[in-house]
Amino acid sequence: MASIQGLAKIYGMLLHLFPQDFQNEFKQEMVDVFTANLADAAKTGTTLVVRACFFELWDLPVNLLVEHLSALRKGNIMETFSYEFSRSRAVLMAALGMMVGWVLINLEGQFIHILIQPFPFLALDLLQTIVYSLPVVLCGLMLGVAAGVGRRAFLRIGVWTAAGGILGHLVTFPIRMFNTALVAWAATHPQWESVAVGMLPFLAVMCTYGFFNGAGLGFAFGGWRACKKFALIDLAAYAVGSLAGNYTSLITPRLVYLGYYLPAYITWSVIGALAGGILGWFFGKEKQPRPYTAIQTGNV
Amino acid sequence: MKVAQPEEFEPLSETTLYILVSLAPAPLHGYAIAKEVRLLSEERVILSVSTLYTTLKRMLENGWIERVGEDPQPDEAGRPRKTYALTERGQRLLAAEKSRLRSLLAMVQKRTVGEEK
Repeated sequence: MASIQGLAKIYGMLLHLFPQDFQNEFKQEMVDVFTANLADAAKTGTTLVVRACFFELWDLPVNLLVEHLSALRKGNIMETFSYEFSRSRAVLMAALGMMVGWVLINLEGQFIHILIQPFPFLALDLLQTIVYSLPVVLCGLMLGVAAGVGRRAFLRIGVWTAAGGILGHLVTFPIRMFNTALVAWAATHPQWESVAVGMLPFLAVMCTYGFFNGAGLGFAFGGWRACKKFALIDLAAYAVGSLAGNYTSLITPRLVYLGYYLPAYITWSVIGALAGGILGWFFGKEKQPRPYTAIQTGNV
Repeated sequence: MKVAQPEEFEPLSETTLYILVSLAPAPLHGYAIAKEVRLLSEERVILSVSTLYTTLKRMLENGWIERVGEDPQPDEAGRPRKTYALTERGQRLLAAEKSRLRSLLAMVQKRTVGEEK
C-alpha cells in the first residue's frame, strides 16, 4: 500500500506538466483514479501494477501534447487576458522595451561569442535568430507590465512575440544575403555605391522585421484580427523609426566611447524608441477582448 | 426528446462513444466510467487515466456531459468522488450516433448480402 501511495505521489507530480487550468479541474480526481487502478491491479499481482504504471506513462505524452495544443488554440495557454492601456503608459513602455532590445542587440556583436561558449551545439546563426527576437519580446513584456496582466499572460506574450521575432529574422535572411551581395558588387562599381549601401536595402530588412514583430505582438494581445492590424502598424512604425534613426546617424558626431561606436547606439535607440512608441500609441487605443469562456458552443 | 439528425454531428471517436454509452443508464464517477468502458468493450478498450480525463474535459466543454455532484460512497482515501452524467445535448448526440451507426450497418448489410450466403 505504501508503494502505491508513493507511485501516486509521483504520478501527481507528473500531472504538473498539464496546463494549469486542466490541473485545477482534474488533478486530484486523476490521482484518485490512478490510485484506485493500482490498488485494483495489486490484488492480482505486482506485475500488473508495473504494467498499469507503464500504460499510464505511455499514454501521458500524447495527452499532454493534446491538452497544451488545445489550450494554445483556445488562447488560454496562459488564458486570454483583458487589458487596458493608458495610451501614455503604453507608448512609454513599448518604446523603452523596444529601445533596450535594439541597444542590447548592438552589444550582441561583442558578447554573442561569450554567450555561445556554454552551448557549443548551437549554431551562431541560430543564436543570432533568437537574440534578434529580443526587442519585440521586451516590448511585449513591457506592454504586459503597462496593462498589469497576470503571470500566465506574460508567458503567452513571451511565446508569441518570440515566434514573431524569430520568424522575422528568418524571413529577412534572403534580403540580408542580397544586401551583402549588393554591397560586394558596389565595391567594384563605385558609381552605384551610394544606392547599394543606402537606405532602401536597410529599410526593406527593417520593415520585414516590423511586419512579423507586429504580427507576434498582435496575436499575443488580441488574436488574429489584432495580428493583421499590428503587423501593418509595426511595418509602418519600423519604416518611420528607421528613417529617423538613419538621419540621426548622419548628424551624430563620429565618436568612439570605450570601444563602442556611438552613432550606432544612438541610431538604434532612435529606431527602437520610435517604432515602439508608435506601436504603443495604437495599443493604447485597443478595446478589451472578449473573455475566454470554457464552454464553447456549436463545435460538435 | 428531440432526436438530432446524424448530419448535425461528426462521427465520434471510439473512446467518446464508449464513455457516452457508459453514462447512458446513470451518472458515474471517473473510476467507474473507466471500469464500465473496459467491461462494455470486453477488455478491448482500456482507458489510461490521462486519456479518460482529457476526453471528459472535451465532453464537458462541448456540453455533452456535466458534473452532477458527488458519489455518496467515498473513495479509499475517504474523499467524495465527483460524478458525471449525460446532458440533454449528450443524449441527442448519442441518439444521433446510434442512428448513424444503424444506417451504416444497414448499408453494409445491403451491399454484402450476397457474400453472407
